[in-house]
Amino acid sequence: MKAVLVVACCLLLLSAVALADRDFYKILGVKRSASKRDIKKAYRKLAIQYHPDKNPDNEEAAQKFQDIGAAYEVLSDEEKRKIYDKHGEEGLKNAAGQQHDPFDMFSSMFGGSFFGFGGNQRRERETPKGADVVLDLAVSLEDLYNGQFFEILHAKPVPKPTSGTRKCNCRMEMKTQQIAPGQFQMMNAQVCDECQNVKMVIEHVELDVEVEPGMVEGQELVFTAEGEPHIDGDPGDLKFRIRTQKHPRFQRSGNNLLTNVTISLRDSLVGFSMEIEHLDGHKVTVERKGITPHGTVHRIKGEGMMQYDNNLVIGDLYITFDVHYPERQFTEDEADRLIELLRQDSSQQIYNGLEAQFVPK
Amino acid sequence: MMRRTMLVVVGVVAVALAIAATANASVPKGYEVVTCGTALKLEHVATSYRLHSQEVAYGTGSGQQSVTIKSEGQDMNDLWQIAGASGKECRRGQKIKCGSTIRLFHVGSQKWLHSHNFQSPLSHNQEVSAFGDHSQSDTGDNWKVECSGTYWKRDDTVRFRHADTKMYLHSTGRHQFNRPISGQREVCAYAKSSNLNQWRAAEGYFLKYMPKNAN
Repeated sequence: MKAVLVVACCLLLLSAVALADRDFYKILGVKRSASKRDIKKAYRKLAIQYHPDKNPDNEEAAQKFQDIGAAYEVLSDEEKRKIYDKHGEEGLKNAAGQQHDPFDMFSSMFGGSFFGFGGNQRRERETPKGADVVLDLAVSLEDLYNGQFFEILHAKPVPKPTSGTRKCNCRMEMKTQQIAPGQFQMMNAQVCDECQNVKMVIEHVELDVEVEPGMVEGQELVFTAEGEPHIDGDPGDLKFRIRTQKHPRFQRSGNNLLTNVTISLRDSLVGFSMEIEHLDGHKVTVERKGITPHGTVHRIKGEGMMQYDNNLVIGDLYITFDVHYPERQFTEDEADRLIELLRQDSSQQIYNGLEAQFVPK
Repeated sequence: MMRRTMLVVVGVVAVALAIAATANASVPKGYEVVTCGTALKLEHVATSYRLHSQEVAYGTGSGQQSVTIKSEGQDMNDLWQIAGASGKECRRGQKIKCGSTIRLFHVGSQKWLHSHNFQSPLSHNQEVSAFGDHSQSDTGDNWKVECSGTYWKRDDTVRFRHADTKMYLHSTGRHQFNRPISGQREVCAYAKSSNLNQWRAAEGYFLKYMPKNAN
């Protein structure tokens, strides 16, 4: 039986709204000159905010989510954006490109991993699945401090039916279909597999990987269905695992940043002021008055890393100083003057450095 | 058994199509050149098989993990990630220059494509294995990329020359293993340049080229 049964019609009955031209730039809150990156950023923020999983039983949020999805779909595609800029939303309808389910779009961008119960569980189906692919993504400390986008092209073998196929494993399944912008239909449709003469065709899918500020070593970014394909089933998932590259100046320890500074003996005795260039280029001023002994740790509040899940929590910067001694030898006369200046007795104390801290008299 | 045969047939069809897909201009801009950090499948041009490894050790030679070629079959053990030479991190998204030295990291088992002075099990050339781990690597993991032009382009045929021994990553295509990896062909390192040591980028995850100071 191949009849299509309409089970539930119209997730959203706001066709009147959908018919009127929407201002996609306004919806995403970006300028008309916005770059692709700005658009992604804006979409990302809003889509999380208005995702129905986060706003259950909130029709207004659901509508907003649809609008945001529609806006992103158009503005992120150069061709569609051109048409939209010229002819508005009405113009796009004539262009007759197929439109995407906003949930699919959300999953493809975020992998549905944001709320733990993401889009991938929305459609349940007992089919075999290809292998998950876990790839290391080498990122710099700058990337983790500032955030960074990566673009990756997945050259992906996709099973395609070829001539002379036969249908098999037929079953009934719920499907969501967009019948007009903003209008969705849920249907019970018969779905069959292609058992014969399936061929793998390489398709190119561009993935946007966003490293967000404060992400941690080993954290995974999941892309649903971008893993290894399965000839008789669904593709596995793709996971990028954050691998932090060594940094020449900073070491991360949780939310804190550690760095070392070698100062001259002169600086260690009379004080100094210096600037440290931070991971985003801003300058941190360090000022020390008086004596800075070798091994001194100086803490600067709020100059560490941002915490990933709570951007209000920011770690500290810890600077450990070591002292560079003068290399030239002093003359007898100079040595006498130094002794007079330092007013320190000659003293040598023997101790077990692994067990006890050196405590000067 | 029937099914396996079918998969192989399908694989061969896929290879032909893959070449067609690379040839047409559907590849978006910025991905023409292979970059550091990319994870890809490498096609042995003469056989259209893919460079492969799995947790099966050689019964002879070094006894390390085997490296083979096998027909394309949606296997994540065909994925190799490009890293800089041993002791040198390459900048992610950096174009790979022809003549530069890289390492290939087997994603599935987290080991480096390696070669050394052992005899390969079937053709009795030099053995190629998968060895080491994330933090453990030596110059035996270094391979020089030989291609024409300035950079390794995605549709180029390339050779990988083992840095320590100057031998090419090679497969005769006819030395076939039995169980447990029956059907897979031996991979070895071979002294002379030939069409049996030509490789090409196939499926995979290609990192877009990033200029040095992009932020």
